[in-house]
Amino acid sequence: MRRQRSRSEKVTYRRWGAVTAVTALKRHQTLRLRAVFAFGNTTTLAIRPLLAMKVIALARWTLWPDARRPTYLLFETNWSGSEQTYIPDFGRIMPVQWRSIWGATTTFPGAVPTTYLDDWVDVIDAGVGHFWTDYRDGATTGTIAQALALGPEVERFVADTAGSSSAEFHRRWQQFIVRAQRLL
Amino acid sequence: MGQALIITPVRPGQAGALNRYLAELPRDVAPAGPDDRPAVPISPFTGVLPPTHFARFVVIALHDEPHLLFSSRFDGAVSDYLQALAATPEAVRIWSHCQIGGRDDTVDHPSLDRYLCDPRHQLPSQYVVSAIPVKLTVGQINAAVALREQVSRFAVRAGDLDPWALAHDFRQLPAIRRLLTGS
Repeated sequence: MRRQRSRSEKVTYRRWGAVTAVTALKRHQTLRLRAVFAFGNTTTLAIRPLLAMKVIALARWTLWPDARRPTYLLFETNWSGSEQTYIPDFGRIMPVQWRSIWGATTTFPGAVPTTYLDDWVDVIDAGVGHFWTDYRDGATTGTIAQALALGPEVERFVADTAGSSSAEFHRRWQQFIVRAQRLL
Repeated sequence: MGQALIITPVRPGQAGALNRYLAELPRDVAPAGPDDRPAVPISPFTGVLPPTHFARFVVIALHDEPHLLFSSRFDGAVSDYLQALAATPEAVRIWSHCQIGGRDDTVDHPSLDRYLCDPRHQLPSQYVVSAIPVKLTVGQINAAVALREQVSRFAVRAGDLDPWALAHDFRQLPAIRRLLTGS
């Protein structure tokens, strides 16, 4: 069932990459994982480095509720950016978080060195059969973050320049561009 | 933002046909060409279902048996979204490869609607990390990205404009006009 694919066969969907990883859990790990996830739900402290990458858009962990052994951990993620660097960067920046979650699975090779991690994710990734997003072309994790920060700046500029002369508009435009440059 | 995760056993011997059907659905792959437009048609679910942030179908193996995983994050209520999904011919085709537990196990729109909208079939996720604020709709995100694109393009040519043209052209940007009119 597991699809063994070479990296070159992977597809990105417009600008979005997608991983669907299914991993069997070691025995007696479900409760520990639930505790890890419960802690994760109480604070964003542990994932700030991940969000700061402005690459990952979504990550979701689900325990498959089945009485049979083994139990499975399902992991889905979407990101925008280079597929070659996403998993290695993720592993390098957050090795403790990787260990705390995937250390509960039967085949986890460790977060570092990331070469092994990258190869492992390639093996456990089922990919996607069909994927879609209704975000417009040009939307990426990074551009969405910039756009959301730019919106209030533009609104303020529009409000400040309502009814102003051309000369005054020009002066305020220069100030706006300096302020908003990093968001454009 | 609503979300759904549904895992359904695939009928024996149907995994290959299901994988082929999913792979053949129109989808927008990596952009090709200078205008950055998809080279192939968009997904049949785009514009048919309530706005979708991310969604996927994939066949996975659990206990060495194939299962269909469907997951989505979207705007609106879960029941509305799953009802709209069940009403699409593509979804009926997809789940016709699966065991949804009807009387004769025939998959049609009503039986799929009952199956998808049954909360017992919807799995909760224990941990979700989203870089995109959950209170934002697809429409709001697309509007913000469009505004950024328009202002960025305008900023490139703004240096060549005199003060009058600068103010005039800026206020003519579609996203700025929407801001000014409040629409």
